[in-house]
Amino acid sequence: MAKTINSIKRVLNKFVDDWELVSTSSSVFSVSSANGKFEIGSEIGVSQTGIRLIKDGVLSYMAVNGLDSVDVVRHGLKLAVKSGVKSDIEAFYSSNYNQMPDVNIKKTSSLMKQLSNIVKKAQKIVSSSSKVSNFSISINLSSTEKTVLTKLMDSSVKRHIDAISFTVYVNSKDFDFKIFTVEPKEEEILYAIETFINSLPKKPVYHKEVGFKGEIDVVFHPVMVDSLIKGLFAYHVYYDNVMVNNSRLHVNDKVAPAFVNISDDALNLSLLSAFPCDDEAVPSRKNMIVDKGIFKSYLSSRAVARKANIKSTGNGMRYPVLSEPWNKAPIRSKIRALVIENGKRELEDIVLRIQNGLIVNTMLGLHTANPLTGDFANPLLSAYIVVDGEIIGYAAPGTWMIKGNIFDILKDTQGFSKERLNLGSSLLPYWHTRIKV
Amino acid sequence: MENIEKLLKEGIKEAKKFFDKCYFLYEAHESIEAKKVAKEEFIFPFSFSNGLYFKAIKNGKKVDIKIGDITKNGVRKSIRELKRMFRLVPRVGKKTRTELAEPLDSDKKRYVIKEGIGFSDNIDIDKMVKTLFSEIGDIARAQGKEHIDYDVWFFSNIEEKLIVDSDFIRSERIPRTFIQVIFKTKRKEKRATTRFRLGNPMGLEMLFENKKNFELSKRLEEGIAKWARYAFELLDAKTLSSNEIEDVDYFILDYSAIGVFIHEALGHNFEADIIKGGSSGIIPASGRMNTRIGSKCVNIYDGPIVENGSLNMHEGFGTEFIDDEGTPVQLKKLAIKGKVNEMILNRETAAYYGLKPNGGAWSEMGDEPICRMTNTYLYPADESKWFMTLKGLLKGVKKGIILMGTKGGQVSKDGMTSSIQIGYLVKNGEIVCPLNPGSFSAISKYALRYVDAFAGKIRIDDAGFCGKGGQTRPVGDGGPEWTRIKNNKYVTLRLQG
Repeated sequence: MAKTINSIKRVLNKFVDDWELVSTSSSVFSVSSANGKFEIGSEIGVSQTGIRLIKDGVLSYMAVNGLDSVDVVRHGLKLAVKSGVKSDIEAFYSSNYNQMPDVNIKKTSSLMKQLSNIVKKAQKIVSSSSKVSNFSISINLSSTEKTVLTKLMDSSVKRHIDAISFTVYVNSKDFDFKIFTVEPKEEEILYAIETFINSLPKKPVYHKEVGFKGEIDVVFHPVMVDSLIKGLFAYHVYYDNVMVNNSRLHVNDKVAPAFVNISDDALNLSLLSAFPCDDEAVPSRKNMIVDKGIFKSYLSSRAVARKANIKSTGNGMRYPVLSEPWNKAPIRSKIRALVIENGKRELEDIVLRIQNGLIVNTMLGLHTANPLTGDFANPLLSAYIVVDGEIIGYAAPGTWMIKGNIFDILKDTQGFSKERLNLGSSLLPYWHTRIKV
Repeated sequence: MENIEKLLKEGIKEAKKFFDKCYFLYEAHESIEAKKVAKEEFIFPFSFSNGLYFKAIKNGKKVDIKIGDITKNGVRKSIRELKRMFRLVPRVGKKTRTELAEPLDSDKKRYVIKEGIGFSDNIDIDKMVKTLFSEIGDIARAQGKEHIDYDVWFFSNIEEKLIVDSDFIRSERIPRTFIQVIFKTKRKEKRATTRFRLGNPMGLEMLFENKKNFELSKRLEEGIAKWARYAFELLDAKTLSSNEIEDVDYFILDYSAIGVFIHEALGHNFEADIIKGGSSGIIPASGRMNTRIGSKCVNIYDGPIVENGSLNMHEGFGTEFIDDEGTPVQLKKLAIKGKVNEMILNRETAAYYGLKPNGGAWSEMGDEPICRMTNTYLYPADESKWFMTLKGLLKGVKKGIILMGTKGGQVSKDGMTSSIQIGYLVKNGEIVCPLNPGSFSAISKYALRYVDAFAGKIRIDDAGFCGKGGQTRPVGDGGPEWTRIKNNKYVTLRLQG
């Protein structure tokens, strides 16, 4: 790797005035069972590289796969230096970085065998339940190494992370998952599966049966919290959108009750997205976005910060416009490690206090909501109905819909759960709020 | 490509010593790309990505691998890794065996679409991008009085793929160009946004009339003007309560709204891997056909567009000649006169159901080819209910809602949702006022049972990206310019605001 990086450096130095390179390389071993059909798959050494270049004050992008093909980089550079836009930054960044510890899991044959056995045993538990009509179970053992390097840096900023993720998906809608950064214990996973399967409500409940109308209590699963905050609220937190008057937020506005604390913390080592710097090589820091219910800070990339004459918050990331691979994405402001402070009550306790409400695990098509206004109106995919503190069943498919606005539901926050879920790039509790059905 | 072919042939020779059947899929994209997001502009004059996938089967057991190191050593190492993994797969029974059906025969080894304006034409990329962005701005501003912002994303690819199977070799080279423009308008506190997309298996000629001064193509100009105008109209849009929506007699969907509706409500339910896994809301895992999913005037097709009785290979963002397992793409008649007729198959599911593969296996850059849609569209089965214009279709509608454009949707086993960009209230056959964006959702198997009439020609040029299984694939969706659905208890519309 070091040898190829040196070759690439030589080529870049020859063709351009300044350059910045972000690269990832990953390998994955996966074991899965879909309705009893057992499969093993793998990825070896799959890498992606995104390069930014400055030549004669013009900024340009280039994306290649790995760093293994110096010829492709050379060919691309000839084209890349001919086009671009006037650069807002004179040079790419360099600083002193506190390297972060790698996360290593020893990838032995016996570990792979053990993971296969876990899937086989999990398959037995899930398939024997009368509550399950179809299922898939998967375990991925992934190794990812990320590198950020600019021309001025003496050595690259790197972090290697091994992780094991476990996912169970049943009845085409309900799911549970866990991420491990150490070898998982078989009994722990199997117990979690059993608990999850036992907790599934048996009975479908139609909207008309319970007659919920107007505003009711809703508890969002951390996965939904992630989508709502990153998809709708964050749009207004990014300074890129402030600059075109598309943000509804003003610093020191009260946006939520005083117990709400939301931060972006890429220094939080419990998250897989923790890294010493952003994709522009600006050192990471903890940014309080909402502190005690008050909106405190926009997030910005270095390029945007330069334009606005403010300081970068270390949030310049390769952020896809839609679905393009990250190395073809432009650098824009982006949340890196979303953390919401937990509450004092367990989820179970929150549910006990709800008279009429829903626990929403997933909504269909939330990606189609309107970030500009914060409005959403979506059918429920996986949700449980709560009446008088008890889960009485699951939302009958295709019959439930909720609508709301991200700013309203943030203001109406009733609380967060004590337990939080680690989603890799977020650490989030269940969110109790009020919403229209 | 010749070197890659040689490398993969050697790999197959090596792998066949151990495995019964195997194939390599090599994919490579070279692209020009540019983006404008808020006030920032980004130009990618050159991007290259490639991926290599290898699948092997022995004694009904399957193993597969995505290979990053596309060299002799990388391929050898991967085959060794697969042999090691193979030993971890438990013995399979009759129901859990994996086989690969033979792909359909083809006389052709290589399929090509030549671009009109391409990379090799020595184009001035800076000039092209600047002209495109400024022309879009000029057209958009001319559509209304208020301020309008716009974001743009466009790319033009040359896509190569090579399938080296233990029994055959096939390859394809096509261009694919895409543009998306998002318009944002505001008046005091009211904000509105619309999105326009166009994508086809074409070179830069999809966007420009010529390569000298980059005059925008008529099709692009029209699309930009139309969707910028809607962004202004949305500033005066109203919302309707659920009670007011319940009173509506008809919903009238434009080709992009009905296209995504079909893609989500029905299309995924025809994918044989979903069917086999028991997750299709309309076809049981047994694969039994003939279920009614639409009214008698509804046909649903997947594949290239049918025009004057033949297939047009230059339209549709998802159009290709061969799928990612080398099977020539067939026009799949998923439903005929409202009844289930055919599944979307890859070679694995074709073998499972004892059918011939029909060219439905697609992969994203070295991922496993899974059953996917290409261009999915509604084709009227009854000409007597196919009007020439929207006016004809609205005649006799007491209270209706026109639903136009979409920003995508999502499907579950039983239900689906599709977003709507703008609506119009119709009273006594006349358009009254614009309506806010919303979500149109339905119970999948009843979604099209109340379709009763159509208007206009078939269009599938609204491009999209389907994200099944974490793999992004370009797709086209569509249907007649207008499709009318009688309001019924299986569909729900909720408007924002």
